[in-house]
Amino acid sequence: MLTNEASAGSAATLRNELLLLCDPATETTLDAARVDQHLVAFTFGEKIRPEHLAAWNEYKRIVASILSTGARRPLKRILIASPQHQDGRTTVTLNLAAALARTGRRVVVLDADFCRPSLQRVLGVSVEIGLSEAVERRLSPGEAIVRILPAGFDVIPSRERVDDALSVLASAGFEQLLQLLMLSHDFILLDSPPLVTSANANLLARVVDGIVLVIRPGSTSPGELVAALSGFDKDDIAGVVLNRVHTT
Amino acid sequence: MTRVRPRLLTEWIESVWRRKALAAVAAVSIAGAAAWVAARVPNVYESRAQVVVVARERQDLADLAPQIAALTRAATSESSLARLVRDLGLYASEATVEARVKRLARDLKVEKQMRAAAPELPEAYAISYRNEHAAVARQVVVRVVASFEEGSVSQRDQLAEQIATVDAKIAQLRLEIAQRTEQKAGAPLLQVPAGDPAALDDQRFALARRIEEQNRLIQGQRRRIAAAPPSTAATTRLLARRDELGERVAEYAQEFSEKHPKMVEARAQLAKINSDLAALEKSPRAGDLRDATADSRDLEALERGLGALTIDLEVLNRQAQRRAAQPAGTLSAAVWGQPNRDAEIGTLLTRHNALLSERDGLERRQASIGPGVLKVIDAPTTPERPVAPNRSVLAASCLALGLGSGIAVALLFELRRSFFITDADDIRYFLDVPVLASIPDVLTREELWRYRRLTAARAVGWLLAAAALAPAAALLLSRLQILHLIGTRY
Repeated sequence: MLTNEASAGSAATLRNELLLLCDPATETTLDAARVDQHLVAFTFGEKIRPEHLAAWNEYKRIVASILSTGARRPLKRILIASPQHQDGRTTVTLNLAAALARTGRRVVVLDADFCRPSLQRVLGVSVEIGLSEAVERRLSPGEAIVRILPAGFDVIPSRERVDDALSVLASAGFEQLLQLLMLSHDFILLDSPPLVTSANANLLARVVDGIVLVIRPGSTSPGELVAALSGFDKDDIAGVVLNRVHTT
Repeated sequence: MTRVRPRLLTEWIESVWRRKALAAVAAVSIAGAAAWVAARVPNVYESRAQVVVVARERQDLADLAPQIAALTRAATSESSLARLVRDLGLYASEATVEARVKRLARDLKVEKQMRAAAPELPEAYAISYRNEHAAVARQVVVRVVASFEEGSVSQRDQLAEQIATVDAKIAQLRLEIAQRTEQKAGAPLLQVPAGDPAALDDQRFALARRIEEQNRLIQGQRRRIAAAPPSTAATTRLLARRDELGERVAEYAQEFSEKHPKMVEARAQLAKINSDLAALEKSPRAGDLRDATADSRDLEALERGLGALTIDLEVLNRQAQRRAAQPAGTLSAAVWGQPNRDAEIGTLLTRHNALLSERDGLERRQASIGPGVLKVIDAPTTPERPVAPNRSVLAASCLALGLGSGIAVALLFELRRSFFITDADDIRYFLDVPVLASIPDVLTREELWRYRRLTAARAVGWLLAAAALAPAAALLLSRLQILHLIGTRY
């Protein structure tokens, strides 16, 4: 009995130690002037602006879908993918992270688009250590994580283009990083490279619970879409988000 | 896997509605162009006339049918139409005479109304013709009606000539018969029983009465011709002169160009005569022209008949003289006692009787196509109101064209969308996965400004395109003559 209690205590201690490893070393308060204006879920202490309400409501719908799906099957690691560039993948990822954070969940966003990393630009922040550096140097997640305030979620951006993205994503370090983040966060959102131009998304799909596909109406043909999804199972796709839908 | 999702009608309607501004610009442009073309579709006037074929007796029907058919063919023959085209200067826009005649043949309608009792002979002819000028339309119908009547006169003349020829043959035969009879002792054979002086006298008396009657008819006819108004004579002269000039122009046309002085002079004279004729035709005595021609021909026929009767009387007189010179009772034996002569005379008599039958037939035909056989019951009038185009139909067509073009342009622009993933239905159709959300496009201030500028530029572009499209559409519609066709047909 004593042994069990001792082992439970040591496990809790280990967990706490691991959680400590995931505590963000850096907190950044966003500058409203530098943040991309498409991040409608970022309110900076104000209410959602009326012109953004429709979009905000749609994000709430996504959150509800994810939470309800998560109740039926594990859906903690989500790959946000899209067929092409400019589909609004990063915007959707960050808005979704902010919306999930508003529900009290701990969310971390990983910029896995090593071809064209854009998280720093969209958030208007600059970091010292990016995702690839953290994986390559086997740093603790906390050293790479940046807490975004006032949105209240964490990000591990990529600092610059990584030519050998395959070695990063296929490495044990990357898997270890994800395992640690699984302990410390409720949701891990991975911003994927475009499906049509990069094969790295297939590697990422291997380590996630589901894929949320972002599609911009009028930019992707059915043929391109089918070709882009040829390496995936239909069950991998948690759902599709139509982004930048013209209403006028 | 299909690359295009089948769409519902409502989706197509939504597509058009999405492009309503573009559709409206295209519709206004095309409808405007069509309206411009439609406004230039000329009015068409129709002149009509109805000519009834009057058959006095049932026997006339069979005699008339081929003659009326010939009349119709003559009135609508290419040569008649070519004369009409030439005289009235129709379809000057066509390059060749053949093309002009073809168009006239197309626009001129001669419809038969058949009679129930005798399907072989039409009861009436409805003649109609459409032209952009009411006066020209009437003139053409007047000329066609006149050509019917002239044709009947011409046929009567031909029959009269045939009758005269047969008369001459009959007279010749009678002389021959008389000579043969004289050679056999002078017994008269012309329907006079041999040895019957009373019958001979009766026949001479009857012939003398017929000659008197014929003389009386000739005098009456001469008086009628003399009483004809001067305008008739003038018209006759003008018609003769016109025919002469027409032939001359045709000759010149083979040798000289249209600008040759001889050609110009002949054309000028022809135009002058045509205008004089048109003036005379408008006068209240216009109908006298045709009557005078018919009267002259009737007089000739009467005079020919008189000649034949006179010869017959002369033959009978000679027979009577011979009979008086011979003892009674010898004539019969002298005539009939010679079998060879009898056979010869019999042959001549058979021919004589056949000619008489032929003459009867010709007379019957001549009588059937007499002056009153073609009766104009609806004279050609100058139409006051156009029969075409139907301006309401044209306006509706313009609207329909505009609307159709607008919808077509909108669908054309929307067609591109059908080759891309555009909405949740496409996702469900192609992937069969749930659509979590449709996030509306969030525009920053700069993007909104750029979007508005782009929209304005597009609008200007559309307006410029519409402005360029309108003249092109107008040109195309004018060339294709679609509205002209719609306006005249419906």
